[in-house]
Amino acid sequence: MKEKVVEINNLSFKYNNKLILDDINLEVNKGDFVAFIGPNGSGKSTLLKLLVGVLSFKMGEIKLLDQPISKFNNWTKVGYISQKARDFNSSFPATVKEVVGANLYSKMGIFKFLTNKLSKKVEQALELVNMLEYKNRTIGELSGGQQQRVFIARTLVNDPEIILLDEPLVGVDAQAQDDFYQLIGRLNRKLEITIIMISHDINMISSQADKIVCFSDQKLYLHQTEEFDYLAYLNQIKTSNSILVPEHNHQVVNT
Amino acid sequence: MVEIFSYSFMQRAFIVGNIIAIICPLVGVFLVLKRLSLIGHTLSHVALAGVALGMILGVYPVYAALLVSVLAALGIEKLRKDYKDYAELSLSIILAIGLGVATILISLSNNNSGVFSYLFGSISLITRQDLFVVIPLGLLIIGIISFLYYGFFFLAFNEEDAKLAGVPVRLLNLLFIILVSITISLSMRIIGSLLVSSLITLPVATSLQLAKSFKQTILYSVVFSMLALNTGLISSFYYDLAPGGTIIIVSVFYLLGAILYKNIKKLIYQSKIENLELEVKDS
Repeated sequence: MKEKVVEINNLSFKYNNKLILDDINLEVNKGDFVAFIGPNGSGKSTLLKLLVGVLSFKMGEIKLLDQPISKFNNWTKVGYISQKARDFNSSFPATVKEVVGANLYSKMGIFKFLTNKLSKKVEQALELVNMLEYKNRTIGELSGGQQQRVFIARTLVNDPEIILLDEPLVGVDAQAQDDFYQLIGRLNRKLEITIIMISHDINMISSQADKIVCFSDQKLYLHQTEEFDYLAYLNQIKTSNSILVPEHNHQVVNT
Repeated sequence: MVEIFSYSFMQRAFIVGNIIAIICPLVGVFLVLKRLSLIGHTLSHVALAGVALGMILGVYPVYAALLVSVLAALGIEKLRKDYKDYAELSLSIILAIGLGVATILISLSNNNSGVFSYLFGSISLITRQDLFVVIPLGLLIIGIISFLYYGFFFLAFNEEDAKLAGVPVRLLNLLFIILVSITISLSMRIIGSLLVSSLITLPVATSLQLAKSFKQTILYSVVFSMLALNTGLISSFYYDLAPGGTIIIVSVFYLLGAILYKNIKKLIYQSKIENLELEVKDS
């Protein structure tokens, strides 16, 4: 049996008394590439925030790497790139190396500095995302796609088991998007990093993801990529910008 | 040039001044990048209330200023949470309270010249006691910031991400604002409470024009601040000017110089590119 990295049991979540997630269940195995899709406001980002502990819940259970989230403290194993990751002050005077290196905080000694050994780790991570030659550039002068690679490198320095991405490519041009998806796919296959990604990009889903989770009516529905009807999906979103999830038969998880 | 160092009060001024010239921009870099540069202004006015209180109670004024400004700093942190989307409102509230209390206490203290020396700064009045307070506390601030360098860096860059990386965000925020209030209380003696915040922001502003990394930003701002302090102190001695004002005006010159330098560099770069384009066309 495959190792479970994320396990959600009977989780419900309310925000301002409005039910966002209703009694949901989900299992993600090591090495899975999971895409979250669904209309705006269907709880995709909320679930990611619950998974990284930014939001807390009262009903149900979340387990990360076999530990209940309330006891989980191995946060460096979970990389999270929020929608706001690129929201920083673009004239912030920090180099790529400094931004990536900062994530090694919990691995630094009493003195919070980058040692030679840690600098090496930063360079390895930048190499993995093909950004090593930019290490001394300031973060603000990079393009959106390049910044996103730097943020991936920032999670990679800690050898994460899971990377969660919340619509990482808003405002990034098509070619850079393509490269980025290929990079994520490579990290998933070669380093066996579990990927959970919110995306509206059907191309990405078809080429990289192996599981699709649909968010609809406060519930989750799990599909294998093969059984997902892309043509129908494309035809539907062609006619309307508001429909992001096509009509399809849901297969309820864990039943 | 040797003459200036033969006076013991000038020796003290240079020692205290240089320590302050290091710690002010050191906390200043983080304040500016967190968009909280006006905190210095607020806390220095509150510290003035502490000075007046110290004079009334007969306590060493810097101690009283330290205590009062740390309390005010905690108040700012609390209000910053209450008015999450109006961070600057917490500063104006504390500024108002500080100035109000300060004016009342100054009118009660009947020691206007004493208060004035803290308001505008003074070199000749720096005592041995000031040395014994500024040196250890100054070294403490330099030490804490160097030990927790990447923690403070991450906090300034992105608080939410810092939390996920295991940075103790709340603790460091609290520690930092205490360091800021200590820095201000120590600096008022020489530079004066009205001008402290300028030494916190001006060298950082100068450095931001030139620096290409965070490390450089810190390094350059400390260098500019020390340069300004020493040239300012020397000219205030020879021309008999107020030291605080002179130091600040010298820093303004450095800032203008940096802006000018950057613009000239940009012009040269642009003309180079134009020349290259012409060459390409010609060929």
